[in-house]
Amino acid sequence: MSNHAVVPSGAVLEVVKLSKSYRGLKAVDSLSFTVKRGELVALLGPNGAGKSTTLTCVAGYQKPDSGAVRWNNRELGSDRSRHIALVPETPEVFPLLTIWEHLVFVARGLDLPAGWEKDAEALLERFQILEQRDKLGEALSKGMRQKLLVACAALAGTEVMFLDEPMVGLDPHAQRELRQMMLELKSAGRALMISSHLITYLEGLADRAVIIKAGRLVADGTLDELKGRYGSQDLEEIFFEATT
Amino acid sequence: MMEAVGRGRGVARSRSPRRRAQLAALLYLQLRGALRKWELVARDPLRRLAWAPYVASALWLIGARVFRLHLQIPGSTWTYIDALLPALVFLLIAMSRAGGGRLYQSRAHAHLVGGLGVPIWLQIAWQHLQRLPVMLWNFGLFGVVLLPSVLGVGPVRVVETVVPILIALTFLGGAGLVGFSARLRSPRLGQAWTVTALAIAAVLALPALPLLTGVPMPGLQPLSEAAAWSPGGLIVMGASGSLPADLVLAVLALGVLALGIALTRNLGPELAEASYRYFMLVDSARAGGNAGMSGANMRLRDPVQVSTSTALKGAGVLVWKTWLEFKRGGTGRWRLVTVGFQLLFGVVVGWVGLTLLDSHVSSSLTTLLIAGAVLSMVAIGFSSGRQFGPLLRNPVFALNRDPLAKRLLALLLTRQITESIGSLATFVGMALVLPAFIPLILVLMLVGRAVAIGMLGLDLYVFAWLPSATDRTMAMRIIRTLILAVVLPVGTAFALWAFRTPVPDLVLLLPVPLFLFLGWRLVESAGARLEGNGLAVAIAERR
Repeated sequence: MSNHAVVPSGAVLEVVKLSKSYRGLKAVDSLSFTVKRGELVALLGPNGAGKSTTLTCVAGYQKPDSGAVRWNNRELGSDRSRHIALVPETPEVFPLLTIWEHLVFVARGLDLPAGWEKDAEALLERFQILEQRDKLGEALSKGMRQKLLVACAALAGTEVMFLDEPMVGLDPHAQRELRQMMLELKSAGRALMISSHLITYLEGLADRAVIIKAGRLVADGTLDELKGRYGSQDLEEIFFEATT
Repeated sequence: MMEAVGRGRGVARSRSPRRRAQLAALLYLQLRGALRKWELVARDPLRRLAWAPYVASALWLIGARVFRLHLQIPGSTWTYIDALLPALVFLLIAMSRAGGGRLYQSRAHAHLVGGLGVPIWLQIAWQHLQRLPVMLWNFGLFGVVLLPSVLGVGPVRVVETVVPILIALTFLGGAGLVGFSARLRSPRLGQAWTVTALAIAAVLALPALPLLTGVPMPGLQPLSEAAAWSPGGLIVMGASGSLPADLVLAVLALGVLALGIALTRNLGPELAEASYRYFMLVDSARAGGNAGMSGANMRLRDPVQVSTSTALKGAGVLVWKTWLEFKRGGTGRWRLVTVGFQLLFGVVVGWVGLTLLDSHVSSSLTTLLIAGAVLSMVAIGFSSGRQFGPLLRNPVFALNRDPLAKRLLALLLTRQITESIGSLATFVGMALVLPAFIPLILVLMLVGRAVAIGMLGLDLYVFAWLPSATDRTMAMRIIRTLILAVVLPVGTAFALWAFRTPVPDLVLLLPVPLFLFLGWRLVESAGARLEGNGLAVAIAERR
């Protein structure tokens, strides 16, 4: 597992009053939440709730209308995509670069210290794409592209990692490996946020859940807190309680 | 979609109500689309701004008409155009094979309009019909009200010119369908179509040589007569007011169009697939890849034997990435053929230059040639329509230590080098014939690249403000026209002056730093605007 960034203890990602509109339509409305070091937070919400917009705004892929994003009490500017790695819902890769060359691209682009090749090979091995390392991006299936992007984000070793529907398109083996990897990243001190509709998958994985509806926060807390608050037994029930 | 198109084959039941429903759907689509476009333009200040140059040009022409200003276009210009038109038409026929199957405007059209099961003839008729309002508006505004006065010609002359051009467009549309059908029946037949059309174009270009070189070539007289009766020759005659020529051209156009429709009437799915492929090629080319070689429906690329690596860091990795894409973008044989053609073109240009140097050419032709060189430099430099969105929404592109402006600069400069290989071949071809002019040719190469960098910067800057592909195409078209209007006379005057100085090579180098600085500042500025907002801009580009 790559472990390049030294994450300070007690570091926290703070999103404060984030808002984003598309031509008058509020996609995210004054949303605030935190993700602590070594914490995995599930971002839940029905279709069109603003999950992807939230992740892309916080990760620096599009400018929010208002709000602040802080990491370790320092406000992150428009260059925050270099502190937060995002694995988007639609996996986009370079068609004319091979799987291995994508990892070279990330390692050299971020000037990772020597020895990154071992980490990169281990990542490809875990996702069972090491044998296809010389395959061009245009020849990859959606699942393979997804695996490659997760590997790129993990290799980058940023302090924060966002994954938007990461399980979509992954085979069962890769889903299990991804789960294991997320647990490892968490114990290595990374701050992780995952958006997904596969609530049962997140049940035993997430420490906390942030539930949004129509761009607004409707619930935020640890799973135990939420279970107590809603009197429900599992995250799925909490989701239905909070969003209906 | 395929099923729906398939339903249209051999079905005899209640055709009229079904046709009416199809036409109603097409009409609804057209009107709704037009209305939405107007609403978007009216709502968005930036989009309104993009129309400002259009309004300004109309106002300028109105002013020119009021104050009776006339442009003096040298009469010899039309002589050259008339002489080259027959060859140009066959060049377009050769090119039409590739785009001939592109029936639909977009993927959505291919999927949904194709899904209606509308017969091919009706779709083609509809395409012509839907272009009519805009065409009539522009023709009325510029062709009848404004341009005749400014160009010093009457509206009758304009109509005489426009009619054969419109017929010729129908002819080319029909030829494209025939070429597409030929390619579909056999790839070899398709290649034969292109080679034959190119050969005819080359033969029909020969009668223009005496005019260009000033050397009489009586042996070419029969060819000259043949060119006069070719479709291009008929356009020239029609534009001079010959009604019989218009009629012959119209019969020819309708015949070719009918043949095209007959040959493709059962090829709905194939036409839809060709359209999809075309959109993919356009996407690939705009994203900076190499069109013609990529995509699932294209010929399979050779697999990569061993992945490569690089020592470049930060924004430098983009240099490596662009090089890999260039290397893998085309197959060796076709790249060699293309470079060979470009080299040959350079030799021809050099030979024409040599002939002109030997014969004492008129000053107006010299000016025209220099203006042509300036025009080609600026035109090559324009790259409107290039898509930046795919890069900006790619999460791998974001994982880099350097700021976006630096990465974009690295990318654009490297693409400049890979894209200049073709023009390098042309310049080498010229140098082979004109070895004494090698320093001047090198200077011209540098100037051309500097202009291209400036234009790329401009393209990126416009993209940062007007990301929507539709808006940008129009905005860039207007900006291109304005820049040409300014750069062409200024550049020509500057070049003419430079050639009168004792050191023309050095003087011609003067604009290079200016264009490079301009390009750099535009990329910096665009990068600052796009940083942290790439996805939003990428989404807007698709609209």
